[in-house]
Amino acid sequence: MIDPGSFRDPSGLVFRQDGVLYRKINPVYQNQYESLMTSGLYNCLVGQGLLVSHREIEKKSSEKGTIRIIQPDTVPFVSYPYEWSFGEYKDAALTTLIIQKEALNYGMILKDASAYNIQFLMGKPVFIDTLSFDFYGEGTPWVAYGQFCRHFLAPLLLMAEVDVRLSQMMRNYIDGIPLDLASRLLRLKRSFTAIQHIHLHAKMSERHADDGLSDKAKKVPFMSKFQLSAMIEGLIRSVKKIRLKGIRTEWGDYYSRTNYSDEAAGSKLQIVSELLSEVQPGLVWDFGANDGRYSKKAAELGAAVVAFDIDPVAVERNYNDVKLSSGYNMLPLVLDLTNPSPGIGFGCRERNSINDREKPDCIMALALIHHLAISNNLPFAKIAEWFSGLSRNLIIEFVPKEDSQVQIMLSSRTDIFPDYTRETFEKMFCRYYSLQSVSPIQDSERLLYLFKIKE
Amino acid sequence: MMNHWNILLAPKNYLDPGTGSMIVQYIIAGIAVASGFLFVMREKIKGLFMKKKSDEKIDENSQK
Repeated sequence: MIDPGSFRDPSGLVFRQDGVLYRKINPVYQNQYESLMTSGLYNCLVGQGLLVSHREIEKKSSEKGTIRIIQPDTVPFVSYPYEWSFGEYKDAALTTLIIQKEALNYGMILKDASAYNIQFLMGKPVFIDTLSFDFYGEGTPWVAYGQFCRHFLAPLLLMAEVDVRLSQMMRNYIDGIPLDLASRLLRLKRSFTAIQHIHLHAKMSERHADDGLSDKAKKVPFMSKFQLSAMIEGLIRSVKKIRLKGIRTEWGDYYSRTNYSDEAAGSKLQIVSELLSEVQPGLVWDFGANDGRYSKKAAELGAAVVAFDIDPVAVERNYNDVKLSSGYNMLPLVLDLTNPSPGIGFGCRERNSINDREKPDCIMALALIHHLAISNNLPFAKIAEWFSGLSRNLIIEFVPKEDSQVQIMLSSRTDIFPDYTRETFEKMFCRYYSLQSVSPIQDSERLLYLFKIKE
Repeated sequence: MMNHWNILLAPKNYLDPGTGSMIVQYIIAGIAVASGFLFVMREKIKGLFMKKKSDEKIDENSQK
């Protein structure tokens, strides 16, 4: 089956067969592919962990019009730029630029600089599109520069200078944030990076928008390799300098404000560990991961973990922890569970919705149900139905109404939740799951449940 | 020296690079060359001072 997002590049396409991901290379890309492999560029990039490695597969004689089939290494979970924290986004941008810089040393360039070409593996960004390399033409500027600015620089500057939540604009603009729009939003922000790559770039694009209507041959000034390298170096320095400033959010210090005693926190971690050991999941989604302490436990027990949270600052902290640890197979991502990532792009199928990606073996929903049910008016039945469509196993914490956190939530609104009870919770989840165990968290009113999907 | 666009608009480049994005790079590259030069000079000058300081320290230590 051909990947629905793989149709723009004539160099090849991505397809799946028996659940395995392959990349087909068309004859038009033969020379570039051979140059990538024989010049030393592939080994250089794979050696540094910048490019995903692959192996060549023997193609069938029936596959005419294909010069190679390659099987790339896969990532446990495909994520998209609107789900990345600022740090993840910045590292993805730097990876793209470093690859472009290395490629130039081998007489090649990146012919596209899409943020969707970056994925995360063991906490590190890795470039996944093996067919993005082209020959460097002496005297030519970087063909993907405009795309780089739309996909990386504009979102990073908007997140840093205006509001960290503006990464969500990438959901709307699949080919990156239009530069005229970024320029308007950044109009009072006159950093040198924004002046060059956004404001001036947007003005030049506007001025030359109608060049195609002219009969005259289009000409571009000669740009030496030295100038191009200097520009890439300048971009690397500029991206490194973009930093988030003084952000405080609702959840950033959640665990310093919870009502868990030390005993309760220890008991919860112990029960979660036991339940994870029982399930032995390969891929875990931790919904509402916050500081990621339970995600890390799952990762320690050998699972690949996607740690989702609505708060970009909590996700940023987790990402920094993952980077420092250099051992957690954990990917922290920003996700609003009440409005999770939809399918976007042509036919709503170029980028998958959260429902259509690699499904987890286990979902963890700890200290989350009251936020969904009370703060967001989501009925238990709806939550159970959605979870059951995603995962066979569910570790979920029930937080009763008597809990002080729920009482705080109800103190500022009318209690319209007569069905928010343990009995209704169990009844609704047992429509889809069979109950495996219930464990009380010591020194607390809370309960930890393990559910398995009904066969 | 001027180059024709044909190279950039060849079929292998399936992205439309955009004329503005191409031309603006010429300006930015000029700035980058100048700032890169300044960056290197700054590092060199910094290095000289650091060396001078460390030499002074070595001198002080040897006098002790």
